[in-house]
Amino acid sequence: MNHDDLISSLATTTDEEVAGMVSTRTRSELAEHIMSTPVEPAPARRRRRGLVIGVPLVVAAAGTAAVVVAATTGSPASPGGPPLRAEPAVLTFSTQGKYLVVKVKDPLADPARYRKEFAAHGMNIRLTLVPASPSVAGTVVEADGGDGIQMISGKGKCFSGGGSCPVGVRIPIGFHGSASITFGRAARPGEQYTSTNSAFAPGEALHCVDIRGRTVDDALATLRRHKVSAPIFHYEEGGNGGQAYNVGRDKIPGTWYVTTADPWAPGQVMLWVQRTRPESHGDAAAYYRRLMSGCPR
Amino acid sequence: MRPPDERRRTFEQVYEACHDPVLGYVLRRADNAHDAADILAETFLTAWRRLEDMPRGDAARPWLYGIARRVLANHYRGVRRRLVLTERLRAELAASYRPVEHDDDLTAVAAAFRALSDDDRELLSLVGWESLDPGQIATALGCSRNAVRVRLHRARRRFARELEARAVGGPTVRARVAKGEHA
Repeated sequence: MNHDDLISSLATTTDEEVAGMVSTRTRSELAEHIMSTPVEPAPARRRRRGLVIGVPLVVAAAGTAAVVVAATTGSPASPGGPPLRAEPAVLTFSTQGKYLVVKVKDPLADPARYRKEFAAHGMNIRLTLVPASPSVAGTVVEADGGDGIQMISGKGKCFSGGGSCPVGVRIPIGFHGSASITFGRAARPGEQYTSTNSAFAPGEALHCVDIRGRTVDDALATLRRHKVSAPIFHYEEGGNGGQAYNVGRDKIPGTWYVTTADPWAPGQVMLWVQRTRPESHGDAAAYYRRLMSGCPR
Repeated sequence: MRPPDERRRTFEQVYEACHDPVLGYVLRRADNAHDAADILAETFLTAWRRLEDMPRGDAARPWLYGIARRVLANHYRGVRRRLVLTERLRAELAASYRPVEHDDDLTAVAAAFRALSDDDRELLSLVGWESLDPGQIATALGCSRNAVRVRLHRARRRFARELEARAVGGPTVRARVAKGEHA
């Protein structure tokens, strides 16, 4: 009896099953997203002890972000505070009870300046803000750090498809590594989102406007009533091994069907369309049911 | 650092060749499809950032397994990095993902396997699930080929003991493996 074969038989998913699981579009979308991530040399290490950092982040309508740093011993703001600077701060650090509150005063500042200001507080944290669709703005869209960094869950504050809603990170005492945190910020008018949720999620342009399964003509009429436009259409040909296209309205017959929608920019969505009437099934249907829960019938 | 275009090309080639193997690796170890989506995305994001460290050619795949292994470990320790982009990936994986059904005898094999340490399980599954040889496992785990041989030998012995303790190994299992996809 070959034990390797016995173990093989325990595999829950075979390579054959994996082959068809992810659509061409999702595959290349992920690759593009990853390759658009800046690659920078890791910042120099800096040591500082005695802080537990929590980062619940609030992006208000004006687009300001607040970073809350929980202190475990005394007031961390006073000794070894930041050196005085002549240039106006992009972050403000202040104590509030047991917290050191760090606010992002200028969400559009050069990200290198956030890093400098964190570094001035002995924190090796790189903060980046990317334009995000409304339900994602104010959440961590990506965090990259050493072992032990935990996400702070803001359950109920956002919709994240069943996962936790990461509104910040918690860094353990004695953490000497470096971390980079990317927050979603409100997008400027016309600015394309870098990070999005489903267009049907609470807070998004098409929440409770279920246009899935409708024809393009029909869906666009509904969008107009909701003052949402669709500058771009996505379709795929040839199944999972085929090609994906992003095209304008002129290339899409009005009789095609809408399968789903992604936020594109403020007041704009990208419609996913196909020639045939879509069928909804299984867990994907459950996913959309959750997105639309609470919507009037 | 490589010029940006060459960097992209290198990544695209590896992504194309290894997307499915890494997804398979992750799906066989993650608790659910949602976690798998996040772990897959983070594994390739890490690979993108550490492209300069990536070994060329066939060694890229075991190297990626090594990254995925650390991402998985972090994930279940509570370090969750989440790309919002993975929403669609999550939905797609959730639609086709199904937990495996065991018959009784396989469940006994599974129980024997589960009784092993995490390290033993990982070693044996890199052989049984990803079909790696000791040299490739050495790349994935960041240790020497000899160390892998020794550890593999011990892990197999411990697995055999667990099987014996459960009196597994009768004709049913043999028949099932013979017609299975991995036999």
